[in-house]
Amino acid sequence: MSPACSDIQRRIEEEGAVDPAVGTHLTTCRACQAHAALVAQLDSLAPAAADDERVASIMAALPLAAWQRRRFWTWLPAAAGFLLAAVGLVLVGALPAPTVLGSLPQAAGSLLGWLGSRALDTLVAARSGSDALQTVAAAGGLGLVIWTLLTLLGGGWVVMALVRRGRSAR
Amino acid sequence: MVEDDALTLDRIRAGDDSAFALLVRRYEPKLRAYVAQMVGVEEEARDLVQEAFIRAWKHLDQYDPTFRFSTWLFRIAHNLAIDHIRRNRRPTVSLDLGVDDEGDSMQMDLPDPGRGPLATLANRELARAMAREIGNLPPAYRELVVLRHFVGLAYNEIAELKRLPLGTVKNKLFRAHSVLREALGEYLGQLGGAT
Repeated sequence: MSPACSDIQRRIEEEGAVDPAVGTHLTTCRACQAHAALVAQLDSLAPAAADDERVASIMAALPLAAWQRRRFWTWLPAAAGFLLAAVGLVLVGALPAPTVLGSLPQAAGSLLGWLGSRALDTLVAARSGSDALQTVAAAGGLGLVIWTLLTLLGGGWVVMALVRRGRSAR
Repeated sequence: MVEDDALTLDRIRAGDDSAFALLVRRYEPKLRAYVAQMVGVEEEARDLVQEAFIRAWKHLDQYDPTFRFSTWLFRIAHNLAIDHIRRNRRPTVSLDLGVDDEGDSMQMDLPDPGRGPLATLANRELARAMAREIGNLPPAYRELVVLRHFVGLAYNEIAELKRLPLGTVKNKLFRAHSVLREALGEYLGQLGGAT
């Protein structure tokens, strides 16, 4: 085996594809032919590609990672819900003053009762009138209806977003 | 062309979590071959590889991009396999490959011509002879042959995984191949070459 054979065998190993110069040498050198045959046999032992089912099963087993939960956009649904609720509050005259906060529990009860009666009044009015929206507006309750809808929608959204995050974290 | 791991990781960081499937597709067979060589049981290797991907996924934010992603992934799988072997100590015919850089003893099974990569060779006599001769190689050579051909790692991946200079990996593999060529000359002659 000549020194040239050593170089050629290294090229066969490291470069894989046989260029014309190597190919010419291989036709006459049995040692290099054997080396090429050995490398080809060994290279054929490399593992085959992963099948789709196996990939899908591993992907399905991945949990929600801590780094995923820290992504800012995962908070967007909850933030959108808060924003919606805040818009509703602004529409009815901005956020309550701190002194008002103490009376909130009692006010909430009154508000619920009042909302109920308003809703019933609105339904009755809508049934008797041709335009429900006009009726509500005429009763001075359009802002309240918008506030109620936005607050319910926003609050519900926040709750759903937080529940979904909690579930996916498990 | 296969998308570079760094690009795939960039996609994941940008929010495309499904891109991780590309990494699973790329490395699952190699990891499974690697772990199977260590634990000797294909089913256990599958479970350990799945666990390795889950662990990599959970700690993806701790991956240091100065190293290859494949090196990081193989180290995770290696540690899991070592833990698994420790937990399930049983009689083994594996070959001692010495102690790795973390002080863990390393073993890899003797190539079995009846299962694993060698079972795919059409020439059964060559498969048996190859298993025998690879088993006769010095452990340091044998491990590189296994990593290169049974696991399918590139030279530079082996160099980084084993923390060896690239030139050393190439030289050792060249010597290992030369030894195998001499020993298997009779069979290789039938394939179109001889010593």
